[in-house]
Amino acid sequence: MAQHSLGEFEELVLLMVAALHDEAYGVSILSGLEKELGKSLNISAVHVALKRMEEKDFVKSRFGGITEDRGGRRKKYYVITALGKRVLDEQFALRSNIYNRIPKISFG
Amino acid sequence: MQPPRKALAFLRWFCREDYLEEIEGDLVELFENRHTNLSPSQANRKFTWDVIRSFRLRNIKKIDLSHLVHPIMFQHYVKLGGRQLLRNKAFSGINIFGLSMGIACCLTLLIFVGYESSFDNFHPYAERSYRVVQHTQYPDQTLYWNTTAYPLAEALREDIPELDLVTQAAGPFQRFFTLEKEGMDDYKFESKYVLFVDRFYSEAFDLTWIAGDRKSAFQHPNSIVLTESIAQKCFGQQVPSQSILGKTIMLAGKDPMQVTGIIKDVPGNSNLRYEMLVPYEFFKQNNPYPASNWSGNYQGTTFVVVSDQHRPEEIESSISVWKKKYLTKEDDSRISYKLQPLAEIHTESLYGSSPGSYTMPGNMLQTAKYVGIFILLIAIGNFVNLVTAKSVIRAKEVGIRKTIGSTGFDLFKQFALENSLLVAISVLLALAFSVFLIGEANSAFSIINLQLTFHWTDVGTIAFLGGITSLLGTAYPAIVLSSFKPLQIIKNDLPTSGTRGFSVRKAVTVFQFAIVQLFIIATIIAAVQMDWFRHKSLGFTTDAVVMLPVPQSDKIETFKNLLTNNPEINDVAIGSGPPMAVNGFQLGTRFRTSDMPDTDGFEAEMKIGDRNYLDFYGLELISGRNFTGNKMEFDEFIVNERLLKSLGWTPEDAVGRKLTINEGEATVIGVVKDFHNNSLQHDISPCIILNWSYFQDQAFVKISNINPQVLESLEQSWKTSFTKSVYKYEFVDDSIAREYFVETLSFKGFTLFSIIAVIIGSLGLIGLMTFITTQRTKEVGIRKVLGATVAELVLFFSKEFTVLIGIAFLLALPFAYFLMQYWLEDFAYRIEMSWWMFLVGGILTLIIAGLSSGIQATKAALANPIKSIKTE
Repeated sequence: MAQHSLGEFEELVLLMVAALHDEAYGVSILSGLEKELGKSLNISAVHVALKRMEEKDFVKSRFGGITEDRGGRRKKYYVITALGKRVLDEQFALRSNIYNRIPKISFG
Repeated sequence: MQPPRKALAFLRWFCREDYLEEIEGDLVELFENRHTNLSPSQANRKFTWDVIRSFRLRNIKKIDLSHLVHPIMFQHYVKLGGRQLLRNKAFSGINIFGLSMGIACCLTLLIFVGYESSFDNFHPYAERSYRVVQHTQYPDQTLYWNTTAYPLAEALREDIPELDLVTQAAGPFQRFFTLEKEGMDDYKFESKYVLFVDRFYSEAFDLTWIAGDRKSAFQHPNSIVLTESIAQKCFGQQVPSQSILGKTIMLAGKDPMQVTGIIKDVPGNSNLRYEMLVPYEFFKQNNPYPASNWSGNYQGTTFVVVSDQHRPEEIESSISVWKKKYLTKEDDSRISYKLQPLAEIHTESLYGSSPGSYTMPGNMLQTAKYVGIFILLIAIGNFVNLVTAKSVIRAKEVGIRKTIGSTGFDLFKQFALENSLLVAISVLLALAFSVFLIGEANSAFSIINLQLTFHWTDVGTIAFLGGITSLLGTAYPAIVLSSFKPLQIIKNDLPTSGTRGFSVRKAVTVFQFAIVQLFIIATIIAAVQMDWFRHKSLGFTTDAVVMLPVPQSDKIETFKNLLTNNPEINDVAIGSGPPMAVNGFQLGTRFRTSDMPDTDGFEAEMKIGDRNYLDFYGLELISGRNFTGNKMEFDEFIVNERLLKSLGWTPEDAVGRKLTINEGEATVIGVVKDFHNNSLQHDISPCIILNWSYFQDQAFVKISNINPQVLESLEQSWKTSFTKSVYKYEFVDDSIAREYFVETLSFKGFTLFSIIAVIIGSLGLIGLMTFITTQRTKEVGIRKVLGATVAELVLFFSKEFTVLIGIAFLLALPFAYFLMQYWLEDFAYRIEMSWWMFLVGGILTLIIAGLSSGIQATKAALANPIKSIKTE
């Protein structure tokens, strides 16, 4: 589990990478998250999370083509890897597992 | 629509290349979006903020340290540095020697200061231990005591629960011991440091037990605890400590004391001196009066450990209310008790030194620290000056290196490394120097039991000093050197003069010589003061006077008769001590006229002398007469002028009046001219001389011609007369000199360190002159050919330094004045500073500087002009 650890923010970014599928790069992930969370985030936080997860092999990246805007800089696209997907699944299973054990009566 | 340029440039500067494209792209895209949606200024601000947020460790370029010093280049630099050292042997020698002396002095002084400030900080409760000191307020003065009445300790222990521990020590006192040895004569010895302590003492203070333990050692009054060295002295080196326990030592020939413990010797950095510890109970049994008396102050030292929930001020104020329970009404209004932190005992001279120890005033320690730092600064100044000056010679090397492709930073590394090499050698040498210095200091001051040693922490200090030196000494020259422009150099447009380097050098020289002059002037003033001190008329003569104890008063006449038979012994007198109180021994009393109430009166010193005492010491009677015969009980007083001043009497009408002292009433028969009955740091105090056999325990012997035979026969006569003590003698001059120990120490320190400062300063001048003259060899040649005389040339070279030293003198003047004013304030009898002392200091510096620079200048001026013009 240690090498497969996933922080809360990382998890959100990873979910967004998976959701955006082939269109996930820094700015799109940021705006997607901002829309979902309803608060503004800093791009550098997204960058850090992406780099970390890339080191942990949860995502992989490639450069896109040369663009007109953004100062002619290429976009760096991220896609989720099989490992990343599995970690997401595990995380989800773990949560729903425990969630299902909440007795109904207590909030009747 | 461009993002802020500076922010972008910053991003590009720090960001690692493989991340840059992505981060920059994202930031710019965000910027563009915001630029259209929000205002341009907001977009700019947010972009800058994003850049700042992206400035994190993960995104920063990895700094490659490996190229900083490439192993091969490193080798090359070291080799080159070594060659440079060897090529200019004299130059490097001067440099290294000066610097290592500076570092060594600084280190030694810092170790000294550290040692002196570490007094008694090793005790278990050092932080919250206090000594109870007593202030006694009289109409005309306040007396400060480091001792208190004996019963105070017990009363405090009973009544003040905020004190965790209260302990008391009596003494240290001088005692005489005999030890019976089987089949041999009794072993007799004397100890000046017999301390009587209660059983709490060993809890409050750190004693290291070799044999016995603190619980059992003080149970029986007739016990004695020996320090290791005394135990070895008595029982021999090889005897195991355990076997000494239970042996018996006779105290003062009558009380058998059983050895109950052996402890380690007192470390040098402790104010609490003892060689033997005896239970306080024993002291109490034998001295019931002082031990139970609240009004007297008989060398009982009280220590308290304050509980950690209370502040000493609270305790002080509760004591001030509480003390009336025990003190008489008068004493209660006069006496106040204060708590003095254990750490301040050694550096506060107000209360005098603790019995048997000495004080080192805090301002002296400060001075010592600054002297050390200043000497180091002079040495660093030298180093910088010499290295910078020398660097010009290597301008060509710099030019070539730069053309080949060295960067300024490479050159900086090279020169910094070379200079650090010099510093490293100097540091090693300094270490050796200071070991030597410390050894010298320890043996020179064995009188105060100085035990300076190297600790591991000092390695830290020296590393720190070395680091500072390298930093200050190498950075500047390296910067100067690495900033040379190759084109200039190749054009032979050497930056010898008029560059910044030159003016910095001037500033450094001025600074150095300001300090050197400060030292010289301080030494001159201190020397004048000490000389005046030593030769000041004390109001009595002490030449060739030997002081010996006379333990049995019934044998004094026998002893005197034996001495009168010896032609080389001129005179003998008996008394309690020499006119000036020495070895901390003084008898105190109070005096009043019979019409004054019992509780009034003034403090006075009581001195015992026989009828020969005044003549013996050359004390001058200004009215009345001397004592006539020897009496068992006193009925006559001879008083000094100072005492009359307290009462408002004149010498004429004083004679025949009655005076009451604590010990009884008598008539004043004579008035003696004031003499220094206290050491010169203190004022003359009222003094009463009595002819009373009770305290006559010293004999004073005037010898016409001091030689071993006389001293031998003196010892013989003494041994035939007295049997109950050990023989020892002391020259009165020596004991008086010891009263000025701290002053002598500071004077010697001033002298030594100003000599060192002068040496380092002159070494620097010589080096600098060597360099300048070689630089200008050709110029000198041409000047000579054109008709300049040698004298003119020497003057030409020395002119600049003369001006610099003049400026330094003006700078040093006010500092020297105020510093020495401050130093002199400690003396009750002091000289006035006068202008000539400063002038002599200035001229002396000028002469020294002139000599050291003149040698080189003359050498250059005398050189054959043909040769010097030919050089290229």
